[in-house]
Amino acid sequence: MGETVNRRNRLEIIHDMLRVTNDLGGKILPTHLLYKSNLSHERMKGYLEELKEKKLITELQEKEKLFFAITDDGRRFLMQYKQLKEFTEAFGL
Amino acid sequence: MVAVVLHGPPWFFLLDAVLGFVGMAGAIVIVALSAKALKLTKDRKFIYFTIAFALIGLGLLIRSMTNVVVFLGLPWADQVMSAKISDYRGYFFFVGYGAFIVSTVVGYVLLAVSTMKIREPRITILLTALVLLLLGLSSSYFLSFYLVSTILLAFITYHVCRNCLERKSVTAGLVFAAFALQLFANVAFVLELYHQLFYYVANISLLAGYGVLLLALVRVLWGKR
Repeated sequence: MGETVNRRNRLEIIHDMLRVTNDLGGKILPTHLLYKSNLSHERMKGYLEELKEKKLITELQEKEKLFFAITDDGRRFLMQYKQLKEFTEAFGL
Repeated sequence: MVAVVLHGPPWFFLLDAVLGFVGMAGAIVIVALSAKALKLTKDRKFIYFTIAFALIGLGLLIRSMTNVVVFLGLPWADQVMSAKISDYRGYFFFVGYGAFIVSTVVGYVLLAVSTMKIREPRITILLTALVLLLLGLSSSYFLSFYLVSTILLAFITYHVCRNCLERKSVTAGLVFAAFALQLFANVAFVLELYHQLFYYVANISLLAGYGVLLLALVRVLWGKR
């Protein structure tokens, strides 16, 4: 019997990264993000660059520690994603 | 010279126009949501879906405008049940309803293609060509339109029914109910040949279908499952 593998697409990975950041009060340590987003270090680096480029997250220095913080655009993306998911699920797309 | 024989009470043209505008409102919301999804995901499946509802909405707009123009130009009294128009209004009615039929049928083909997840553009072109040819060669284009729409809507309704059973969400259930009502309305439009009562049943079903679809969209916009 073959095992079903549910691969996340690019948008789902971005959503998951933003959601865990948001759920942890809007900021997260890179190591926690790596662990929670279930990605390899290399892949996470690529996604982080994209998120920063699109101004969905920003870097934050607090007590000599680097954090990633979700921006207002990031929160807007989360809302839009939720609406998109509801829309596609309602029509079975 | 085009001569069109209109049946039914004149006020029904105005009611039909209102019905069309209600349906168009739903189509506009779906186009907006689908275009947003397309922008966010760049997924090709949303291209067909967006164009499908844009065409369905355009068809409803053309039909409603035709109804308003025909209604305003009708010289008949409220109690007259049929009239023959052979002047510019006859052409207007013919062209208006022709455009509505073509726009709606192509919209339904694209919707069926989108819901059945057909990725091959040649199948879409083939289906569209066959349906348009069937309508063009038909001697009764209204009957052909309702029959073709019934078949396409049956496929779409089957898909949304399966989706509803899979998701078990209220919104998916409402989308299924909306398409089931539109399918029922199309069947009633075909049965109108046998009894005029079906014309009223069809219009009521269509209105209920549009209403339920709008309710589903309101839930999507408010973020309720």
